[in-house]
Amino acid sequence: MSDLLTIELSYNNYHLLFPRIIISILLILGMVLLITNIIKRVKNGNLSTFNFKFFVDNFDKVKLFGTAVLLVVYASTLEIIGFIPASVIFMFLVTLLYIGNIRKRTIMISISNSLATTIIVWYVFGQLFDITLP
Amino acid sequence: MSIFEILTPLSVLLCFLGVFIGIVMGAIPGMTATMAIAIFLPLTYALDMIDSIGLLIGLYVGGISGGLVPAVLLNIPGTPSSLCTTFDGYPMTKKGEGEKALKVGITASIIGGFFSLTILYFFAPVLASVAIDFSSVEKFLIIVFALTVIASISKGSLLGGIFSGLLGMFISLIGTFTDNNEMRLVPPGLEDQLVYGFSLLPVLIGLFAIGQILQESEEGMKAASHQKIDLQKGNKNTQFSFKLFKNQKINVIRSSIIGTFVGMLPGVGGSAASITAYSQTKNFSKNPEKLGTGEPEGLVSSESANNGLIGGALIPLLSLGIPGDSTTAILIGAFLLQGIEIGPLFITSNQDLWSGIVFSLVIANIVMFILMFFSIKYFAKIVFIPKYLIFPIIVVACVVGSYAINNGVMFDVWTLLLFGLLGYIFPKIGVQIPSFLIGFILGTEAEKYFVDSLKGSSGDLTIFFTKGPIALVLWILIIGSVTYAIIDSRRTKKAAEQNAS
Amino acid sequence: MKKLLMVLIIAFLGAILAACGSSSEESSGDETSEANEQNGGEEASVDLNRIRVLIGSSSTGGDTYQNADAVSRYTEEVLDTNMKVDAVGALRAFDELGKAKDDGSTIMFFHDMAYLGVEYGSFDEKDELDNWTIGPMVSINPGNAFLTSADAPYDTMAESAEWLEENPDETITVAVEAGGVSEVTFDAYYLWVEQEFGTEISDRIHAYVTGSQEDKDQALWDGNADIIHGSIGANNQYTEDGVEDKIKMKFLGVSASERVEGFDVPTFNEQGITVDGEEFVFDKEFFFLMPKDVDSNFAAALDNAVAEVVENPDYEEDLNTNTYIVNHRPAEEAEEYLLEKRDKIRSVIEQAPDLNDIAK
Repeated sequence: MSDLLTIELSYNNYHLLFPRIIISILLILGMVLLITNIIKRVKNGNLSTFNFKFFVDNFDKVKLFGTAVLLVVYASTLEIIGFIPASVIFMFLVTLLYIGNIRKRTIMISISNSLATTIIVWYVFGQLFDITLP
Repeated sequence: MSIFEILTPLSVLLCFLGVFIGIVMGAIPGMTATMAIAIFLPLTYALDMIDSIGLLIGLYVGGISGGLVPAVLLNIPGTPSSLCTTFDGYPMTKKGEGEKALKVGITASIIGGFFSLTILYFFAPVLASVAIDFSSVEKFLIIVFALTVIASISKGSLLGGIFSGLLGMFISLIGTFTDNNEMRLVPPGLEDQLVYGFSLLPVLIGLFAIGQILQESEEGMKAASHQKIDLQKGNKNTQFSFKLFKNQKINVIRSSIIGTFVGMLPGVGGSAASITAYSQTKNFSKNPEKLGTGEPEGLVSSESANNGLIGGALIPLLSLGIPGDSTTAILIGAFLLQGIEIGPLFITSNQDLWSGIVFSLVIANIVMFILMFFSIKYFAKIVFIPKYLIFPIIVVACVVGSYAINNGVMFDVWTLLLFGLLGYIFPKIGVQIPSFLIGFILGTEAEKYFVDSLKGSSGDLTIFFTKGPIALVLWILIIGSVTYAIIDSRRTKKAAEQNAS
Repeated sequence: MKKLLMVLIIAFLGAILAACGSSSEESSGDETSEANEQNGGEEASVDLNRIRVLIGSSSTGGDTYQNADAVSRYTEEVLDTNMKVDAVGALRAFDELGKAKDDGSTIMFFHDMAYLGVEYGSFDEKDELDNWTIGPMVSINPGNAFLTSADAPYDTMAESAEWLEENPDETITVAVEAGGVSEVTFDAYYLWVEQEFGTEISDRIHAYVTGSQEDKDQALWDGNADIIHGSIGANNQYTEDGVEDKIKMKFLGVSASERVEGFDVPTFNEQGITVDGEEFVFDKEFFFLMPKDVDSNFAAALDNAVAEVVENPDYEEDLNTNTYIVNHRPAEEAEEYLLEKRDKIRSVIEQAPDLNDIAK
């Protein structure tokens, strides 16, 4: 009995002990979740019908993928073109995207929002607080 | 000894300033109290000890308290310790009670702050000695106890919630285990970036802020219904009144005690404080099913606990020289820079400084309350800022915060985006974000104390039961908490079925 | 009434903001005046407005940070620039130093662990001393020590071995951190016991491997370790009179070449601890590291600036408040000295026990 409750510890493997335990529990739980799900499906008689839907109805493709693409582009350009230009361009485009039209007013709003935020962040954090900016 | 003999006008002024800057930084998603203190630490060398303490304590109190604002209004925890504030705070905002929620939170904060301050002032040495008695075994059990909150907050599926929590723990283990400097679970090719694993802050704000932004853009960035509610409509429910706290006396005290106590344990992180308090509030609540749907009760517990944590974390720092959390670990640097030794004799040999610290805490809490209580009206208007304006601002703040948290690491920005994507995908595939995050926050600590316990017992697992009376009490609490969560989950399910039929 | 309050608060906030603004102006004003002076062209100044000093520790409360902070604070004045100490931890510090520009805008400050970590395999081979430009050495933390609880039956490291010999049923567990100064000092103690008393005794010495100083302290209080590695600066507070018995500690010895002034703690050398018949002395020394191909003008400027700083009595006093002492070696001498020190310590490490065998 006491053997069962003792774990073989060795310095070289300290780092593997806990992850192994967590992985085991995760696997067991995953199995249980899967089995209960199957049982439920068998009971309800819809074993083979999958009506899993990832996106909500009529999802806004332009805005969703637009945001995702802009985020990635923003992060990749940060260190190349610097914090201020990258942020101004990113914010300008995202604001335009969210408002969803290209009227004069929209462009004005986007420009002022992006310029104001970027400069305030740059001044207060980058200059006053000496935070390392990209 | 009067307060003004010890505190110089400059230190009071710096304390005001500290609170103000702290609140602002705490309120910006991506900036934390720890960061605020780290930024100002080098500046304190030029100041007198008492003045620098005023500033740093102000930053600490302000930073922890400011996290409340985005948590309540935007569903983004401004700091890790305000995670549980989102559970009830944001639903209240959705009901148009944003201003009320903020006021409830602030009031709970100051009560928690003063409570822990009183404990710090009168019982610090005694309690510090108790804290030492908590060995790695007890600390591991406390973390397990905090983890039981996963069971009580899981919505819909209890197993799903636990699975999410474990998944979070698993992700947190990626990186190097410090005892033997060995890397594990790191995908090939990312060894350089993941040496230290994923940083908490980008993970936190990625899951909440970026995930939410992606979700909203999928839905087309329509104005939410609560953005159209007029706050001043005079609906009685949306008005704040101190009477609210009449029924919360026990809750406030319990949560403050838990906050102070968890904060006091060296090496158990601050976020565990509000997590534990929230779970106990839920267990003891008369209407546990309502928690998480916008009950002031939950808000009160989370906020009083995270301010209670401040006094708690200072207890081992000032009476033993051991920092109670990551923020006080930086604070210790401020003392050392001035050549002041913090240790078991600190309080007796530095009476003036000790009183100064306590007075600074009093002032910081009061300033925090006044500053926030009366500016909340304007803060609350944040909700009405159109999404197309506020979301880009949040993204930039998150990116700056992530980049700066480790002094300029681009990988942290990618972490932010990766977990933003996960924050968007998780709810769709049934992974519960709060549970995942709690697992992530507590995972590394759980591992450390688990391994430490076994090192002490040469691998004997029974140590967790035989260590001593404290361990047994903790087991009773853990089992009680889990049993309660299971019963509660069954009851909720039944109620739901009845409603359906 | 309400209006009046609001007005007051706004006025108050305004005042704060103004204070905020003015204080910032002040500091930026300093910078510009510094910059002007810099253009005036003092010999020692460098053409950088900011130098990042990466340190090999992620703590802002440890000895690395304190030594880095002190030397940076004085050196930046001499160099007419701004030095920012970043506590990023060893692995990241090396990583970033490897990628840093050669103009000296990013440099590193660390202690003996810089090469010990490589020898022990905690750091990558590519981070070995030969791949960096070694800068000047500035200070010593002479308090590298071992401690035990105040009521332990031995008072020095040497006595602890004798105690083990006299009590064949006892064991001693020592809390150390892997891959650093604490492991090498522990190894020396272990090897000495093995060579002097035989493996029967040394087999009863175990290691409890853990991280920070707090963890080691707690290990002692928990009873998981009998002896812990520590330092005079960090642990002295627990040894003073008036400390509760439960947490009271006592020093068992320091590894430095000389005793620390004001402390009655014998050195390893005094206790007769030797490795391979040679006395074991280990000073924990702090020095700068720079990228391999760093601009030679910058390296020279830093070297000269540090030489000036170490003469400053204020700097010395700053170090002494935390029981550190000035120990200056110009870059060239430091390089030779460190490489020699490393070769000497290699033999200890080669003979050292595998932690896997002696860790609990």
